Amino acid sequence: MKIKLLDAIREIRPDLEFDGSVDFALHGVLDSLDIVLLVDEIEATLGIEIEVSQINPDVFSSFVTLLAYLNESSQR
Amino acid sequence: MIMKFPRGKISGVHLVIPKNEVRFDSEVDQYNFTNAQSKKLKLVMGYDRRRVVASDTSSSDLVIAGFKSLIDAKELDLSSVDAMVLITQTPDYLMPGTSFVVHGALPFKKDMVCIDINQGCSGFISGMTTALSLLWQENINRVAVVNVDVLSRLVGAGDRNSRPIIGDAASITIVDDSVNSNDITALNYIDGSGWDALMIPAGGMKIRPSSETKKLTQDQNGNVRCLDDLVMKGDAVFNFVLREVPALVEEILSEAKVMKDDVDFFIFHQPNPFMLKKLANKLEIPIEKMPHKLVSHYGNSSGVTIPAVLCTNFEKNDFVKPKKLCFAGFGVGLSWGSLVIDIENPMFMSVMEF
Repeated sequence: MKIKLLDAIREIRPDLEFDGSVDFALHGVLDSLDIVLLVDEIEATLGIEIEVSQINPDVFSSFVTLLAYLNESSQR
Repeated sequence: MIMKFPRGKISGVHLVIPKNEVRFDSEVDQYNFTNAQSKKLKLVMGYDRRRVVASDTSSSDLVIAGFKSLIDAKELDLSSVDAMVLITQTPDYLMPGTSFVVHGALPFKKDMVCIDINQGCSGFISGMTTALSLLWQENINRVAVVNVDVLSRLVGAGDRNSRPIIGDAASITIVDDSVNSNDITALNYIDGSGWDALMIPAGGMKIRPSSETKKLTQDQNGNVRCLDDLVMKGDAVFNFVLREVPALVEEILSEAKVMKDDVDFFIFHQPNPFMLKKLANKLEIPIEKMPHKLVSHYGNSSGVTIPAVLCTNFEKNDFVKPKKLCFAGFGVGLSWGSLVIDIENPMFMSVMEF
């Protein structure tokens, strides 16, 4: 899941550079267009539908929070 | 606030769209998207084509053309109009109101009411609510609700958030007095704490336009604008819509005592196909009942989008048998509102180019 999410972020924002750590912020880095594209990319490649109520600053605040949400969703 | 209206009906809707079509492909270079981003944005956000006015066309030009076309087609006798409610964010002048300019250009009677409302993407709901309220007056039997915006003239050329989807248009909705078998239900909400989420900073009395307000700056997301341009805090608006609109629609259906299955179509403001699909999904509404492709063909024309969806997806004959519609508008203010209404046998539901 971690790798797939990284790939999804790289797909929509190829300009972002990761330093190897996955504990990085998304809030302030991704704008609303990026988030729309990321949601679409995640749904298409990971097969996890992101609920409307979860497209919010809490879930999308960092890689860790988004990964936690996706892990939880995939287990439902 | 919930409002109920036992009287009033939509008797006709006329849409005016500019002839001038701009394609995303032809201006993509000014936004600094990668090729992959551009392809995805076309697919997901509906970035494709939009209709915009020429640089010297104003709101009143579109509206006057619309009324003239209805007069020429003998669809509307202006002497029958007792009130005009004009909703725009792009008035011809700071003063007078644009409704007066329209009134002065056409043979309206003097014994009537003209009201201008500064409202954006929920402007059709505000206009309809005002019109339905006016119909309570004994001397007001017909109201023209006019929605118009030419926001393309106020969006920065390098605003990648807004410019690719902004379109211009005007609509004229004729609302007549009638006794209804079903009440029209309206619901309006305001949260003024979000007044700066969508705004044009300069041009009013707080910041007068000057050489300073024309200086371009780039924000952290690469949007290039000046203070004379529209600014949208995309994240704030995005979160607001997904948070408030599902609850809004659930509440109005409950107040109207209408089941989702009873509604023939959900006609929402058209920010982009992504949001509309998410809203349909959350509300468990079949996407076929929620037209969502206006933006790809004509752009997002603010308060005009709801009548624009009506006129580009339906003809008057589609309403020979009454249809129950749920409208929802949301945007600047922040404001969000909804209307549940039956439409039956309108005189016209038409589109013209200007």
